[in-house]
Amino acid sequence: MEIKKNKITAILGIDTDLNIDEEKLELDFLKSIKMIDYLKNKFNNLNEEKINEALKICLLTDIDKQKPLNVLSSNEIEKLELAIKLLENREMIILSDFEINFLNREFNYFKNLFKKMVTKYNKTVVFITNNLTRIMDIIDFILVVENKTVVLELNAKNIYYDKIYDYVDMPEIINFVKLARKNHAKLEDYTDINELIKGIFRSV
Amino acid sequence: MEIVLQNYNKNINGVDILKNINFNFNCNISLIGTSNSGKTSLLKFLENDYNVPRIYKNFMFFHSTVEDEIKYILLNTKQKKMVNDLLKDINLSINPNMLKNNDKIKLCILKGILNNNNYVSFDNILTYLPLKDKEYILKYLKQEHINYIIVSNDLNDLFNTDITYILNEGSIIASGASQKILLEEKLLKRLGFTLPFMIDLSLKLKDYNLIKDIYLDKELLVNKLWK
Repeated sequence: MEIKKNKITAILGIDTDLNIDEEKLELDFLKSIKMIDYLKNKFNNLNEEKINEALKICLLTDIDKQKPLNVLSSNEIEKLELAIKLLENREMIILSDFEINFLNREFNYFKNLFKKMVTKYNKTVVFITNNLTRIMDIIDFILVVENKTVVLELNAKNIYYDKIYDYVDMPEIINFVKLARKNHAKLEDYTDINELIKGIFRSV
Repeated sequence: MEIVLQNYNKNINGVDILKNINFNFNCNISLIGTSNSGKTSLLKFLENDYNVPRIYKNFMFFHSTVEDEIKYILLNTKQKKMVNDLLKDINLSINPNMLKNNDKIKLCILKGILNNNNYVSFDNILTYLPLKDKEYILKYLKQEHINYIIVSNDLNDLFNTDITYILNEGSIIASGASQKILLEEKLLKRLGFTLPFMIDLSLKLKDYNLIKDIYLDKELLVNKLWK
């Protein structure tokens, strides 16, 4: 499987379990150690300023830093896992079901962060998810995986390709446009609702 | 039977986690709110004091086979069918730790709902499932008259519940019929939610005077716009 460097890729499919390097910190999150102490211990080669900077980028506050790991919410765990990946300075940031624990406002912040990481810092970002709706506006490529084999590999511009939806739920906007086209509506491959509204206004 | 909380407060280490909570659990409920608003704390309280199983992403399994983990031998025919439908192609004698993540999620859910309880709560776990599996599970719960609470960041889940409570900083700031809460556009957007696609689309088309009502059915809206 080839993951394009310096791009944002979505890996989709029910059976997406892959042998890609993704550190599992689940056991660490049972510890009662404070977040900041855990990080200082884990990254004893880095100064505290660097750690604080990563936490701030990941929207973790001074209050959050003092929380023991075992009381963190799933939202805070996702943020901390991302901060750890940033501190490790990984070239490839792998995000497994990352979007589930965020409301739109925070997730939009992270989407902008990921775009910046790719364009400014040459990082590669990979979303492993079954929820195409929330990431379809930032991905460059789509890989669909079944039984650990890539069955589809396409540019995200081809997001309207029907075959993808044999494996994952179709985003509602795509479903709507396809239905409208059956009623002879002249609509383009919209992924943004505001653009769709303009298209509908021109079409009806 | 119902669970009623009146003016419930919870304080941990001097911090008010839940404040003046009035909550009635006698139907299917959505519980929404920002991070740290008290959703999980409320579910944990219901789990500890009222034995409402809280189902969340937890891959700690205690038996060496899937079969033992869900006590398959004790299940009735309908429950066995659900296990076989959801875990299709899975050999139930394998170790749960060998399952794929998606099947581990299903196993967590099955463990929680197959214990003959009248209530269950889903703490941000249903979103991991494909739509058809989620619908299958909720249909089963409705048929068995098992009331559920869904905590989720996806407002589409409100369509599967009767009543919605919105929590913010430990307090309930709004509650009511889920279909009505979905129309609280300003409040939901202020909290950081995205409206379900069909409601968002309908509201925007209303602003352009292209339609007069909210359409939840895509086909009806398409037929209205392109007669």
